[in-house]
Amino acid sequence: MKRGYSILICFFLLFPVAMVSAAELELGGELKQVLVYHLDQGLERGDSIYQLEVEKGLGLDGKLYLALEGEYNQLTRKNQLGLGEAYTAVYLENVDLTLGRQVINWGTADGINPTNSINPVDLNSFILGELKGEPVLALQSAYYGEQLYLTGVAVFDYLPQDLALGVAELPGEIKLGKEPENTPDNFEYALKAETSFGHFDWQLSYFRGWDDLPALIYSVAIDPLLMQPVAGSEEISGIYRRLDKIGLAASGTINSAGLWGEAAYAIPEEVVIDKRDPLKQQILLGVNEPYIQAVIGSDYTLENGLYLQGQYLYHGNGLLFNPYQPPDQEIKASQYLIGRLSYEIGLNGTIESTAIFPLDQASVMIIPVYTHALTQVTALKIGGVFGAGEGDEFEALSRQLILTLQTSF
Amino acid sequence: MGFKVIILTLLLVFLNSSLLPAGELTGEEILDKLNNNINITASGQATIKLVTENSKGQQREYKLKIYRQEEAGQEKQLLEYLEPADVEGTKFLSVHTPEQGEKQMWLFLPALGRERRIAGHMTRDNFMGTDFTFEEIGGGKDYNDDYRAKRLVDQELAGYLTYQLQLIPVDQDLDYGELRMWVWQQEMQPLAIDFYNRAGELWKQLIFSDFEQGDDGELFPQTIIMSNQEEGSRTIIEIIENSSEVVDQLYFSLQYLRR
Repeated sequence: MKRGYSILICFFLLFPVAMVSAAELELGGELKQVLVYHLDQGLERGDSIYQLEVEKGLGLDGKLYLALEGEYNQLTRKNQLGLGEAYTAVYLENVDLTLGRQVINWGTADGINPTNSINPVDLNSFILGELKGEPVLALQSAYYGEQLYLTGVAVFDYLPQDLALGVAELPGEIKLGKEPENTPDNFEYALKAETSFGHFDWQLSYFRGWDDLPALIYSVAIDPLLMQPVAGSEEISGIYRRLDKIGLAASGTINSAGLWGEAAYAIPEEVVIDKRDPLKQQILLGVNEPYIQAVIGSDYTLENGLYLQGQYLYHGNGLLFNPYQPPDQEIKASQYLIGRLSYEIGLNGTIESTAIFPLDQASVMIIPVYTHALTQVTALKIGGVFGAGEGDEFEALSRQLILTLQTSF
Repeated sequence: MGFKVIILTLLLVFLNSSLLPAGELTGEEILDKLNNNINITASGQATIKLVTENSKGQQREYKLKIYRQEEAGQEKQLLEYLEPADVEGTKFLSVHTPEQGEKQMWLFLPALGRERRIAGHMTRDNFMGTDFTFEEIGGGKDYNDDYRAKRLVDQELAGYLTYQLQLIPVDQDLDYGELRMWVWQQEMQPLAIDFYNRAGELWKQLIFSDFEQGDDGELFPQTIIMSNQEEGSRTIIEIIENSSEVVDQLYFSLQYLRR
């Protein structure tokens, strides 16, 4: 079934591109060299990442866009080449239609957006300090009225998020279940209504689809004599479950400050735990009831050019970077304060730093980055991820030095 | 005519081809005459080259498209970066409706994939590394509203006889403590503006040069330079092409911003 959709993609995307002569195409892209050095474990990544974009603008009538993305891993000496975003956009008078592999960004907060549910997070970009979505095959239709904008999205090919963060600490091997078939019943749908009052933009959204991360169920055999878990019998199965999400987001300005807020009420499909067998214990390693995610934030620029930003994040489904908890721990909501500052040093330098403080853990993660423009389109970034204090949420990401050299063309 | 768009857009200094007897005009009248012309035209589009230069002489060069419309007192402007690759697709939309108070501004960054509202305080910050503030680049600044003009002794500047105006801010919150403007008497064109800080020190200097005559007979500057005396930096604007044709309303919408 998925292969059938892939053919559909190629037909819709490549056919119109082929009709345009090469001379009319705009080429662009990016080359990036990335080194990630762990202070304890040595070199973790040495990647060459490249992206080639082909675009054909049709003025006010539409756009054809295709991005080829690749990555050569110097450590494993393996090469990956894939399709990034690739879509055809048709612009009508009040309606913009976009069909193809695309990233759709909803929400108003900076970085973490509870109402942004259409694309799974690209963990590869996340590790490099960017929060990009993985493109999905979707049809997006946006209507722009006088005072009201309506956007509808249908996702035809469910794409789960890679399981990477946090699961290493879970006991037992993870066996993932089958992904939902790409039948109309399983398509994902999202709606968004937008309007403006005064100096604020408001978004009301609804998402019905599938959770990007599977629900993980921990199972262990019980010794009938000792009535104790049998060592070595642990296993974890993952199932993909439906998710409904209602979101409200706003952004605006008051006097000298930018303000935003975003909240989502998520209703995951309940996972039924089989408790009939006394010799088998099952525990869900995540939430099994509706939860809330919310962000409020503000930013301000001082007269000397120092940009300051603060955000409060409420994450009702566990830890921010790890929604799964070991079977002996209870899932509980987590809260964070996120601070960011940025300052330009001369024409070529920018220093940025982000700090994440979990309010219920005595720890902090700090992500400093210095960017130096070597030329107008070439930048050298020197940064790192450092954690401190108690709590292990950031341990997998911490103590890293990251060096990036990137060129756009 | 089309270059008026650029000037109004970027510098908010006002063009006028009318000729009035020099000696009979007060500073307020000269400024008023300049400002009055904003409401007559100032719609169109232009492509410009924008060069930023720091105190060490290092330069960055950008190419931008500018769309602007003034209608029924409402000012709308869209800036779109065309080059270089790292900022291509960045768009800045500003809409000013006087009865709604403060200007509304959105910045669309392709990497973010959506627009962000710009806070009011940022209007006085430098726009994208230039020596112009968001407010100045966003258009619609009315010097008549913010300053009281006093005519000083006429001067010759670059070979042209000019009116010299001293502009004193009426609002103590304004960043500038005083402005000096030199207006070419024959053409009623501003040739230079000096911006002083609150301490009375020269902060920025704006110079218009390379005047050419448009199809409609009006003069316009081809080169505009804003120098920041404190930082030692400069922003140079060269007009590549322009048009005063009516711009489609679509350009001033979030719909276009997101495309």
